[in-house]
Amino acid sequence: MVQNLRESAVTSVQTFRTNTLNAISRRSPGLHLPLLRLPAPPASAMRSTPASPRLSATSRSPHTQQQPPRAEPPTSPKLSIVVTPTPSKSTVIASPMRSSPESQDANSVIGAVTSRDSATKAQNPVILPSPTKSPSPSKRPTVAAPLPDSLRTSVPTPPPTIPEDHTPLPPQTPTRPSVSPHPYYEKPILPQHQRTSLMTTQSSAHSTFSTHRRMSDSMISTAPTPDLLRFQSGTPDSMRPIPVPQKSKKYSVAAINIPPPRLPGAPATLLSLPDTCLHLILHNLPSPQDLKNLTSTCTRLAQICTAPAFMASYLVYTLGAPHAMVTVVKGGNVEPADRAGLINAVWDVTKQRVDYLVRGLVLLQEWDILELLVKAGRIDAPIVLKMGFLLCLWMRLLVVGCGLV
Amino acid sequence: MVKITSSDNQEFTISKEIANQSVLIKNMLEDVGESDDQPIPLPNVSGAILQKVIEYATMHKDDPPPAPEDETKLKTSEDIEERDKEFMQLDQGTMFEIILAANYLDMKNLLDLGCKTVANMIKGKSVEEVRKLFNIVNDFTPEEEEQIRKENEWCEDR
Repeated sequence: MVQNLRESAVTSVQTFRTNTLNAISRRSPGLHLPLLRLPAPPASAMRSTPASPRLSATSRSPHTQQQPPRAEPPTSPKLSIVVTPTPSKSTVIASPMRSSPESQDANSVIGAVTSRDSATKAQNPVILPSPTKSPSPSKRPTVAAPLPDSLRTSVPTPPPTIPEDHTPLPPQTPTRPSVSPHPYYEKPILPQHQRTSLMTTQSSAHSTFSTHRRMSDSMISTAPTPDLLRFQSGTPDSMRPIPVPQKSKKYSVAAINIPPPRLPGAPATLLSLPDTCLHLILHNLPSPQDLKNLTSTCTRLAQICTAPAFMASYLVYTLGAPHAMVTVVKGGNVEPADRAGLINAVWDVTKQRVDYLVRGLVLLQEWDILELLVKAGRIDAPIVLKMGFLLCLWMRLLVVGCGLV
Repeated sequence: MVKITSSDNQEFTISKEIANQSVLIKNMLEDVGESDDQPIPLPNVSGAILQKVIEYATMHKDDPPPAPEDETKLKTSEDIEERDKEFMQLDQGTMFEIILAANYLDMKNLLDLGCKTVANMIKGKSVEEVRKLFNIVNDFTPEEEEQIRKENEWCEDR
């Protein structure tokens, strides 16, 4: 009686254990812990950390990011293999720890075939058949290793871009535009507030891509970010060509060469002079401090002194065109819009003497400004080359003439 | 000889060489012809100022024609001849009237002389001194003064 009870108890315990294990195995196909033949690798080896360069590189791969989480076939977890074939640089990691699709976090790349080169992966599909049963055609083998061609043909390999559960792919995140082909010099540089709004729009397009895709694509393709421009050009902000600012103030010599009205019999004063006469007076003030003092006296003189046309002509007439161009391009404490106006105004003053300007910039060795002017279409490259050649020739003759060679 | 009339109907008879120093008079003479004896009216110039202008033109009648504008040449207000300095030792009202007359008559040398003289008066003076010298009223608000100071920072980078 007691023995029967004991046998029935043992039988019930074994039945319970079997049922429990089966249930666990059904829920988590990877957790056949009692059937493990190889010891599981340490958890630290299986867990991808940001410090792991291989896994970090894998997680950065856009191909891997587009892959939805996949369930592992129940035949896979008996092995813990980390195979890194050298020629194709593909990494295959099989893990018994990967038990369910829900448990994928940092280990999501474990068991998946990762490759730095998708083309290499397509040429060398890594497949490892199960020793007990062949995988179903719709299942992608998880544990992979190089196989002979006879076995490889028996297992159809799905295209790598189509997930095995036929779930729709998640929307692709918009990537930054290609750097090389963008002719940024032909694009106007946006003002600062528009650049900020552009960057905000691009970042928000990552989250609401479906609704903003067209807008973000168009903006990315037409207006690169300032960082991209800086990377592309390798020049500071001050060196970039700036379009003509939309200023309402236009100074025309014919329009301002009229003295302001004054009462008959009233004596003439400094402010009775027309703008052209005041410009001439200001041009004879080589000291900036004097100009600054005169600017701070009254509204009219301030308007005259701060006009971009006057500033440009003042710099050109007091410094010379090359030094004026260097000042307006590289000078600090100038707002971008003001700098643009100054550059254009200096160019307007000196465009009749392009050779003089180029010669001066060559002598000053301001190659970046020359490059800027050439790319902006203001001057032709052959003029710069000719001036550079003449400079080199002149330097050579000077060296020879001094007897240094 | 050429006859010119000021705004207060004073008539002056000057030689053609003196008259041709004014581009305005020169163009008018070319337009009306040399045979016309009618005086050329100059309504924007008073008789006293026109007298000073004729004096300057007479003083410089043998000078070579001015060179064309060259932006490569740096401007300076120090190259004033001594006779021109003596000529410009006038009160401010007359000096600015001469500048206005030179601008109207298109006499570049006289205009440059007047502007250089005014520039020499401005040099080295503070804002208040400039205001006091030329009787300029400060019409800035404090905010405008600050704005002007910011806009003027560019000249400190030269």
